[in-house]
Amino acid sequence: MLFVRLLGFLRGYITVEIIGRSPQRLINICVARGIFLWNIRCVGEGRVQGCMSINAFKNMPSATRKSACRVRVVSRHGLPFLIHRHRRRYVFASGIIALIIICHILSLFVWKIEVTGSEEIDRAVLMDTLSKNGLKVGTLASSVDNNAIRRGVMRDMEELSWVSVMVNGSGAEVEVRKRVPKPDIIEKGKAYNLVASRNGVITSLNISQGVTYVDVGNVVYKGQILVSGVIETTQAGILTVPSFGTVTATTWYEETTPVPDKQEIRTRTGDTKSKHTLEIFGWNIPLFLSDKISFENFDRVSRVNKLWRNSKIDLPFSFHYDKFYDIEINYKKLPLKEGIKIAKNNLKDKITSELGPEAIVNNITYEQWVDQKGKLNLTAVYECSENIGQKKEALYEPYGEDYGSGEDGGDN
Amino acid sequence: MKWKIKEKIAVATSIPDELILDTFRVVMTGRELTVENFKGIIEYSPTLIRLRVKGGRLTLEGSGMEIKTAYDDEIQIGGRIAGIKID
Repeated sequence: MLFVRLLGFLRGYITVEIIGRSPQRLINICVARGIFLWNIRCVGEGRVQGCMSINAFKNMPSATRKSACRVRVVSRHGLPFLIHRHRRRYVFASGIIALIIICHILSLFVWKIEVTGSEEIDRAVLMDTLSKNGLKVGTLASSVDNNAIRRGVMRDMEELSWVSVMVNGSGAEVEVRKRVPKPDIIEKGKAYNLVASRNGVITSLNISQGVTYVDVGNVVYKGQILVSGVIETTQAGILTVPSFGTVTATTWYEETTPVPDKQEIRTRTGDTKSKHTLEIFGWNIPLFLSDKISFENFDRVSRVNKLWRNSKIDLPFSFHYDKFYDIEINYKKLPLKEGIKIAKNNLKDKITSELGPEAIVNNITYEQWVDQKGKLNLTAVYECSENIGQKKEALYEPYGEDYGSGEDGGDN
Repeated sequence: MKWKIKEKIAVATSIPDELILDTFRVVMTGRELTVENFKGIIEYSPTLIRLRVKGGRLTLEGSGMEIKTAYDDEIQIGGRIAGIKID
């Protein structure tokens, strides 16, 4: 019904009143001649109103003569009459044409990129990679080569196992899947040793396979073989096995940092400068004349305002507020206690980033010392307990194909 | 004679009468009534509509009746239809 009404509006129709002694006669003639009439209703004695198309109305005169009825146009509806009514309003017409052209041009660009799939993938990195490969907000939709972008993203982001890029109208849908890391594959017949991942003193051994070369209390160095996967036997000869087990050792992490004796104090002088930017489809349009900042030191405060941000549609227009505050930098003497506190925090950050995933910190010791320039330094030693057994392939070529077969190897 | 042959074909093949015999067909859906194979309008007022159909006349009584659409062989009538009479 909606379609019929829409078609009626586009083609235009008129409501006519048939006046005469027998309006039904005219309706019969119209029906017989294929003139389509609808919404026919009686409005009084010998008066009937109905709707018909513009073309049908042109064929009415002969029918009216035959039926001795009079036809009067009551109202006109539809686009042709609307255009005719406003035919001399050139500015209005050109405005509508301009609106249609602008809408068409805007529909040619990608307005929104929607990423679905694995949540672990860093969206910012993915958007950067997509941008490098030719898909960003503001890209011409027809220029997007889905396959080329997909290949480029797969090449640039190794953590992805699958990417799909699809552009629908003004929106792009990107679906990603994270790659499942390949497990450590132990090849049949090959020997694997456990070697020390760092220096330490062994505190416990829990070996399920392999020949143990060290004992509790031994000092070991990085790279030293702890458990061997090559086993020499008197009956079966040489066996090659992958070593399994846990070698727990006490390890030490040491870092040094200077103790700060002064602290930077940043004070705003009150002078400010604003440099705002309008971003449209990823293009930044500066709303200022000079790019230079006359301040020697400054703090920059940025804020982004998305236009129509409350609506569900994320439009590619945003306003960037950048405010620069003039800063005066002064230094004040720092008490030793506070300096050491800052140095300890710095050391903690440094060492924590070096620690192994399973390391447990048992003890922390600090030592203060003065260097040749007279500067105070702080050294931290973290005593940890961790598994230092690292699997490494043994450089040994077995003769037999069978895993653990030592018949041939034993002859050598 | 011709009518009887057509009637026999309709009975034998189970093809609907309105297709072979050109008889009228009335379908009423809610407040809308459709008459297929109608031949013309004899009388029209909001309370009474008389239609010419093959083999007689179809009289519709009611109130506020209006012709929704009128094609060469089909007419759609809307409004409050109180009764249908076939003469």
